[in-house]
Amino acid sequence: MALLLVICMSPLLAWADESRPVAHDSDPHEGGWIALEGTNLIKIPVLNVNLGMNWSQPFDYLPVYAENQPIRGTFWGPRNRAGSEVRIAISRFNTSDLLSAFQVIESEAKTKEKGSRAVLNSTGDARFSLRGLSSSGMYTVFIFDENSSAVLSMMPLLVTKGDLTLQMPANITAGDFARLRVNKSLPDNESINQSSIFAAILISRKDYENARLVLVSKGTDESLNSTLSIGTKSMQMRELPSLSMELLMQMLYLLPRNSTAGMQESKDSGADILLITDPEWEKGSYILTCGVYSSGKGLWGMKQEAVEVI
Amino acid sequence: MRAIIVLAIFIFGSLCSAFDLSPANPNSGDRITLSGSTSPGERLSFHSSFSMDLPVTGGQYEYETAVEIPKKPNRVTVTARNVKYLNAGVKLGIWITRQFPASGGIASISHADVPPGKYDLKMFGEALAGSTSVPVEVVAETVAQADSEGKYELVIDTSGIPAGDYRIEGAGDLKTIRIREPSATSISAASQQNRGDGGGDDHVSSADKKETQVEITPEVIQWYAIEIGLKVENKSQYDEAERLLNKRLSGGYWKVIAQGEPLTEEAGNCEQEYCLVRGVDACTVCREKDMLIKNITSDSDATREGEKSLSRNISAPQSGESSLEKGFIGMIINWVKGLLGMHSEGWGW
Repeated sequence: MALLLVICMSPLLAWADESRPVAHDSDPHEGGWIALEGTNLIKIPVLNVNLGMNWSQPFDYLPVYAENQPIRGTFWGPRNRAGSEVRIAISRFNTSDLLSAFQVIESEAKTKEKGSRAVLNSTGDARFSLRGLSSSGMYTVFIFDENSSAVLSMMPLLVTKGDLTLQMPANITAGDFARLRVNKSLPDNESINQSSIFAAILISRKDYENARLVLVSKGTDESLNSTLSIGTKSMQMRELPSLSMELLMQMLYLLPRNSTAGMQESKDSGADILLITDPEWEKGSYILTCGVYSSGKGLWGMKQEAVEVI
Repeated sequence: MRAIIVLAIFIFGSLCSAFDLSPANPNSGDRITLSGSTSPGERLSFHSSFSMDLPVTGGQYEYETAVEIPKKPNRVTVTARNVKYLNAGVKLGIWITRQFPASGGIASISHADVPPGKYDLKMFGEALAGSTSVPVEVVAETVAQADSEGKYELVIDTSGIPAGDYRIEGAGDLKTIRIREPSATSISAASQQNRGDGGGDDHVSSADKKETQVEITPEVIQWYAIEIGLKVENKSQYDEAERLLNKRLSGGYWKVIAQGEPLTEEAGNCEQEYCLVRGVDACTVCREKDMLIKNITSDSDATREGEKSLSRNISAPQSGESSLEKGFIGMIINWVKGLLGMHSEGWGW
């Protein structure tokens, strides 16, 4: 549940630092597209934004990096910008800019600390490399045109303390308990006695891929309406949703019946999570999403795997 | 003379505080009404508890039930002995599971301020080597508020409470009643007795409620198939739906009722074409929706004040870690807050 909320809201939040919408062309042939390398990818629901014009989220996956892991990628730019110099920068997302982010360029000033420069090649593309980030959280990678300061492209990414390994049978039988083993990598400076919460949620791929967050606004906080849909159920929220007991409980109701979640608190580097399934579950492909959070340390890691329910 | 006054105060106090239980010999699944008198507006804490021995098979133990959590403030504590660990699963629309490690063979879960409502629960895990049974004790605590005349009443749903002794303590009194195994004979007898009494007993047995099991026709199977996401036009999936429905109904604990038939006083009638009902009063769809959406809005300021007072009055279980004090929901919320970097800034985005 928590993961779903994070996954649903993460792209939304990431957009908050984003700038001119015209820059966000997800078509690799037309350009303006970022591909990050060597990342752990989290599949995310579809995001639609309607602020007078319709936008669809160009991201299928949220890249996840460990702290200090170098961020390498390629900007597939438009051919007509070949030879241009671009700046690649990273900034933390800012929720207060959520609405204005779609209309106003404000991001550049926030991104001066981190970045590198590159010259687009004859096809408008450029490889880039950025130093790893030392603090976990949600970030946004921006590609700026160095001359006009226009944002050519952006991409949200998640930075976690470390990496996770998941061990779970590839096939589980509906009605059985499913045992998941989660282990986290231990950086040198990590305290072994740090208590962590290990959590996992299993949702059918069909429902997961049909999850959709639609935002409709006339440009003000008050006019924002959002609808989160999962399967055949949906939930409407007015204004910016606040995380509350009510919201979480409503989201629990929103989740399809053939979903399950488990959590475990442990001071060890790993934990077993048992997930309960019902015999009535629809058979097929499911998506397992797992995250580990350490109080005071932040998000330790996040990982997804496919599981077949038979 | 002083002794007489003290004795009179004691007796008077006892008379004012003692509570009544009705019925005296309930079946598992019945509702027990606890009532009494005290000072107007007074809040009284009540503890109820029962024990059971779970059999160990292949080193594993398991128990599944549906329980009703009383209104807030409340606390539910489950203690299992002879175990390596205790897994607890609660169905809040979906199953949410957590494992609790044992210390010295004892695993304990204690949650305060659980949102009231009916919950499907599962307890399972691995028993200590050589154990043939796992003794489990369940303690529920809640508060009754007296009205302006000093009268108070609590209704306790005994669904999920196995046959055996059921202890209730509060208002300076301790009573033990025996919960009977529900059987067709006893339910029928109780039902007839209550009807024959003509309202002399204000207890309404669950068996009094209208229960009508619809015939399992192809139409019902089609409805169930759609409910569980199977395609009725596919013969094998239709057969699978029929098999699952028959399996579900085979124990006699579940039944299908038709649209308009009564569920609970809270959830109203079955509003769908059919409803799959657990026991006498719980359409799963309506119940879960009711529990998830309706109950969360019922936290009035007065209740919150009560929660604080109960939290102060109840000591923490000694065997549990501090983390065990947190409710599932609170843990989820804290986890999400942490994930989103909301350690101290509050909940708003």
